[in-house]
Amino acid sequence: MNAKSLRPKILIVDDSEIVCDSVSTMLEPRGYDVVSLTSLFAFTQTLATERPDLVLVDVSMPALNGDKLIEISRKHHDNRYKMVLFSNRGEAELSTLATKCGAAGYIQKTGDAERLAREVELFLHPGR
Amino acid sequence: MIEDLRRRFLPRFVETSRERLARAHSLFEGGDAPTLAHELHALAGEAMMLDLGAVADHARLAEVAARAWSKASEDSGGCSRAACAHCLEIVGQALHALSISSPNQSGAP
Repeated sequence: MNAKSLRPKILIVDDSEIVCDSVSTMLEPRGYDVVSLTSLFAFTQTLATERPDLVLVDVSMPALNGDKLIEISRKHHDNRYKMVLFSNRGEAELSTLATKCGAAGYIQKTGDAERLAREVELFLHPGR
Repeated sequence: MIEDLRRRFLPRFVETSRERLARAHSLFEGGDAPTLAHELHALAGEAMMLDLGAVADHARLAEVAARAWSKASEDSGGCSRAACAHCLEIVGQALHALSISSPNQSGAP
Protein backbone atom coordinates (compact mmCIF):
# COMPACT_ATOMS: atom_id res chain seq x y z
CA MET A 1 0.00 0.00 0.00
CA ASN A 2 1.21 3.48 -0.77
CA ALA A 3 2.66 5.21 2.29
CA LYS A 4 1.09 8.59 1.55
CA SER A 5 -2.46 7.36 1.27
CA LEU A 6 -4.61 4.39 2.11
CA ARG A 7 -5.83 4.41 -1.47
CA PRO A 8 -3.72 2.14 -3.68
CA LYS A 9 -1.91 4.07 -6.38
CA ILE A 10 -2.08 2.84 -9.97
CA LEU A 11 0.22 4.14 -12.68
CA ILE A 12 -1.16 3.70 -16.20
CA VAL A 13 1.33 3.97 -19.07
CA ASP A 14 -0.43 4.23 -22.43
CA ASP A 15 0.11 6.56 -25.39
CA SER A 16 -3.67 7.01 -25.71
CA GLU A 17 -5.15 9.77 -23.58
CA ILE A 18 -8.60 8.23 -24.03
CA VAL A 19 -7.40 4.96 -22.51
CA CYS A 20 -5.63 6.71 -19.60
CA ASP A 21 -8.62 8.94 -18.86
CA SER A 22 -11.04 6.00 -19.09
CA VAL A 23 -8.98 4.01 -16.58
CA SER A 24 -8.95 6.99 -14.19
CA THR A 25 -12.70 7.44 -14.59
CA MET A 26 -13.32 3.77 -13.82
CA LEU A 27 -10.88 3.28 -10.94
CA GLU A 28 -10.87 6.56 -9.01
CA PRO A 29 -14.49 6.24 -7.77
CA ARG A 30 -13.61 2.70 -6.68
CA GLY A 31 -10.95 3.83 -4.24
CA TYR A 32 -7.78 4.05 -6.30
CA ASP A 33 -5.50 6.96 -7.08
CA VAL A 34 -4.57 6.89 -10.75
CA VAL A 35 -1.53 8.55 -12.31
CA SER A 36 -1.23 8.59 -16.10
CA LEU A 37 1.76 8.69 -18.41
CA THR A 38 1.20 9.04 -22.16
CA SER A 39 4.89 9.06 -23.02
CA LEU A 40 7.84 7.14 -21.66
CA PHE A 41 9.89 10.29 -21.26
CA ALA A 42 9.47 10.54 -17.48
CA PHE A 43 8.79 6.90 -16.68
CA THR A 44 11.69 6.26 -14.29
CA GLN A 45 11.23 9.60 -12.57
CA THR A 46 7.48 8.97 -12.18
CA LEU A 47 8.13 5.58 -10.60
CA ALA A 48 10.47 7.18 -8.10
CA THR A 49 8.21 10.09 -7.20
CA GLU A 50 4.82 8.36 -7.28
CA ARG A 51 5.86 4.92 -6.01
CA PRO A 52 2.80 3.20 -7.46
CA ASP A 53 1.40 0.00 -5.99
CA LEU A 54 0.67 -1.33 -9.48
CA VAL A 55 1.79 -0.27 -12.96
CA LEU A 56 -0.41 -1.01 -16.00
CA VAL A 57 1.73 -0.92 -19.15
CA ASP A 58 0.28 -0.81 -22.65
CA VAL A 59 1.98 -3.32 -24.94
CA SER A 60 1.94 -1.43 -28.21
CA MET A 61 3.53 2.00 -27.86
CA PRO A 62 5.37 4.04 -30.48
CA ALA A 63 8.75 4.47 -28.78
CA LEU A 64 9.09 1.15 -27.00
CA ASN A 65 6.77 -1.81 -26.57
CA GLY A 66 5.43 -2.32 -23.04
CA ASP A 67 6.97 -5.77 -22.65
CA LYS A 68 10.41 -4.34 -23.44
CA LEU A 69 9.81 -1.47 -21.02
CA ILE A 70 9.00 -3.95 -18.24
CA GLU A 71 12.01 -6.08 -19.10
CA ILE A 72 14.36 -3.08 -18.95
CA SER A 73 12.70 -1.68 -15.87
CA ARG A 74 13.03 -4.95 -13.98
CA LYS A 75 16.78 -4.93 -14.63
CA HIS A 76 17.01 -1.50 -13.00
CA HIS A 77 14.47 -1.86 -10.21
CA ASP A 78 14.39 -5.64 -9.63
CA ASN A 79 10.88 -6.44 -8.41
CA ARG A 80 10.33 -3.20 -6.51
CA TYR A 81 7.32 -2.30 -8.67
CA LYS A 82 4.56 -4.68 -9.63
CA MET A 83 4.00 -4.29 -13.38
CA VAL A 84 1.36 -5.88 -15.58
CA LEU A 85 0.74 -5.70 -19.31
CA PHE A 86 -2.42 -3.83 -20.28
CA SER A 87 -3.59 -4.53 -23.80
CA ASN A 88 -6.38 -5.51 -26.17
CA ARG A 89 -4.33 -8.43 -27.51
CA GLY A 90 -5.50 -12.02 -27.03
CA GLU A 91 -5.00 -13.84 -23.74
CA ALA A 92 -2.59 -16.45 -25.13
CA GLU A 93 -0.30 -13.82 -26.62
CA LEU A 94 -0.43 -11.68 -23.48
CA SER A 95 0.32 -14.64 -21.25
CA THR A 96 3.39 -15.52 -23.32
CA LEU A 97 4.58 -11.90 -23.43
CA ALA A 98 4.07 -11.47 -19.67
CA THR A 99 6.12 -14.58 -18.92
CA LYS A 100 8.89 -13.55 -21.29
CA CYS A 101 9.28 -10.02 -19.98
CA GLY A 102 8.85 -10.86 -16.30
CA ALA A 103 5.57 -8.98 -15.80
CA ALA A 104 3.38 -9.99 -12.87
CA GLY A 105 0.69 -10.81 -15.43
CA TYR A 106 -1.69 -9.05 -17.76
CA ILE A 107 -5.05 -7.32 -17.84
CA GLN A 108 -7.07 -7.04 -21.03
CA LYS A 109 -8.44 -3.62 -21.88
CA THR A 110 -12.10 -3.29 -21.01
CA GLY A 111 -14.79 -0.71 -20.45
CA ASP A 112 -16.23 -2.87 -17.67
CA ALA A 113 -15.25 -0.95 -14.54
CA GLU A 114 -16.15 -3.74 -12.12
CA ARG A 115 -14.06 -6.24 -14.02
CA LEU A 116 -11.10 -3.88 -14.27
CA ALA A 117 -11.23 -3.09 -10.54
CA ARG A 118 -11.54 -6.80 -9.72
CA GLU A 119 -8.49 -7.67 -11.81
CA VAL A 120 -6.46 -4.80 -10.38
CA GLU A 121 -7.40 -5.96 -6.88
CA LEU A 122 -6.21 -9.49 -7.68
CA PHE A 123 -2.74 -8.12 -8.43
CA LEU A 124 -2.71 -5.87 -5.38
CA HIS A 125 -3.92 -8.57 -3.00
CA PRO A 126 -3.29 -11.95 -4.67
CA GLY A 127 -4.29 -13.95 -1.59
CA ARG A 128 -7.75 -12.44 -1.19
CA MET B 1 -20.82 2.86 -15.87
CA ILE B 2 -20.20 2.20 -19.55
CA GLU B 3 -22.88 4.77 -20.38
CA ASP B 4 -21.03 7.26 -18.21
CA LEU B 5 -17.75 6.46 -19.95
CA ARG B 6 -19.32 6.85 -23.37
CA ARG B 7 -21.00 10.09 -22.41
CA ARG B 8 -17.66 11.46 -21.34
CA PHE B 9 -15.39 10.06 -24.02
CA LEU B 10 -17.39 9.15 -27.12
CA PRO B 11 -17.20 12.58 -28.79
CA ARG B 12 -13.43 12.60 -28.25
CA PHE B 13 -13.19 9.01 -29.46
CA VAL B 14 -15.10 9.81 -32.66
CA GLU B 15 -12.88 12.81 -33.35
CA THR B 16 -9.64 10.96 -32.54
CA SER B 17 -10.71 7.95 -34.61
CA ARG B 18 -11.38 10.13 -37.63
CA GLU B 19 -7.84 11.47 -37.32
CA ARG B 20 -6.45 7.97 -36.82
CA LEU B 21 -8.34 6.70 -39.86
CA ALA B 22 -7.07 9.58 -41.99
CA ARG B 23 -3.52 8.79 -40.84
CA ALA B 24 -4.17 5.09 -41.53
CA HIS B 25 -5.17 5.87 -45.10
CA SER B 26 -2.05 7.90 -45.75
CA LEU B 27 0.14 5.19 -44.13
CA PHE B 28 -1.61 2.68 -46.38
CA GLU B 29 -0.91 4.80 -49.47
CA GLY B 30 2.70 5.19 -48.36
CA GLY B 31 3.07 1.44 -47.83
CA ASP B 32 4.06 1.81 -44.15
CA ALA B 33 2.32 -1.36 -42.92
CA PRO B 34 4.01 -1.60 -39.46
CA THR B 35 3.00 1.95 -38.49
CA LEU B 36 -0.44 1.36 -39.98
CA ALA B 37 -0.81 -1.73 -37.77
CA HIS B 38 0.16 0.34 -34.73
CA GLU B 39 -2.40 3.02 -35.57
CA LEU B 40 -5.15 0.44 -35.95
CA HIS B 41 -4.12 -1.28 -32.74
CA ALA B 42 -4.46 2.02 -30.87
CA LEU B 43 -7.89 2.59 -32.40
CA ALA B 44 -8.99 -0.92 -31.38
CA GLY B 45 -7.71 -0.37 -27.83
CA GLU B 46 -9.62 2.87 -27.42
CA ALA B 47 -12.77 1.23 -28.80
CA MET B 48 -12.37 -1.63 -26.29
CA MET B 49 -12.24 0.83 -23.40
CA LEU B 50 -15.61 2.23 -24.47
CA ASP B 51 -16.99 -1.26 -25.11
CA LEU B 52 -17.52 -0.50 -28.81
CA GLY B 53 -17.25 -4.10 -29.90
CA ALA B 54 -17.91 -3.69 -33.63
CA VAL B 55 -15.38 -0.91 -34.11
CA ALA B 56 -12.83 -2.76 -31.97
CA ASP B 57 -13.31 -6.01 -33.90
CA HIS B 58 -13.03 -4.34 -37.31
CA ALA B 59 -9.98 -2.34 -36.26
CA ARG B 60 -8.37 -5.51 -34.92
CA LEU B 61 -9.02 -7.35 -38.18
CA ALA B 62 -7.53 -4.43 -40.08
CA GLU B 63 -4.51 -4.56 -37.77
CA VAL B 64 -4.09 -8.27 -38.49
CA ALA B 65 -4.32 -7.53 -42.23
CA ALA B 66 -1.72 -4.77 -41.91
CA ARG B 67 0.63 -7.09 -40.02
CA ALA B 68 0.15 -9.77 -42.69
CA TRP B 69 0.89 -7.15 -45.34
CA SER B 70 4.07 -6.08 -43.55
CA LYS B 71 5.29 -9.69 -43.54
CA ALA B 72 4.08 -10.59 -47.03
CA SER B 73 6.48 -11.58 -49.77
CA GLU B 74 6.58 -9.75 -53.10
CA ASP B 75 4.28 -12.43 -54.55
CA SER B 76 1.58 -12.26 -51.90
CA GLY B 77 1.96 -8.55 -51.09
CA GLY B 78 -0.74 -7.44 -53.52
CA CYS B 79 -3.30 -9.75 -51.97
CA SER B 80 -2.44 -8.64 -48.43
CA ARG B 81 -2.58 -5.02 -49.50
CA ALA B 82 -6.05 -5.56 -50.98
CA ALA B 83 -7.24 -7.26 -47.78
CA CYS B 84 -5.91 -4.34 -45.81
CA ALA B 85 -7.72 -1.83 -48.05
CA HIS B 86 -10.97 -3.75 -47.60
CA CYS B 87 -10.58 -3.84 -43.80
CA LEU B 88 -9.84 -0.10 -43.70
CA GLU B 89 -13.03 0.54 -45.62
CA ILE B 90 -15.02 -1.54 -43.12
CA VAL B 91 -13.46 0.34 -40.20
CA GLY B 92 -14.46 3.58 -41.89
CA GLN B 93 -18.02 2.36 -42.26
CA ALA B 94 -18.18 1.26 -38.61
CA LEU B 95 -16.91 4.67 -37.47
CA HIS B 96 -19.36 6.43 -39.73
CA ALA B 97 -22.24 4.38 -38.32
CA LEU B 98 -21.06 5.21 -34.82
CA SER B 99 -20.78 8.92 -35.52
CA ILE B 100 -24.31 9.16 -36.95
CA SER B 101 -25.78 7.11 -34.11
CA SER B 102 -24.10 9.06 -31.31
CA PRO B 103 -25.52 12.44 -30.42
CA ASN B 104 -23.21 15.40 -29.80
CA GLN B 105 -20.53 13.63 -31.82
CA SER B 106 -18.36 16.65 -32.35
CA GLY B 107 -19.10 18.56 -29.17
CA ALA B 108 -17.24 18.60 -25.91
CA PRO B 109 -18.05 15.81 -23.44
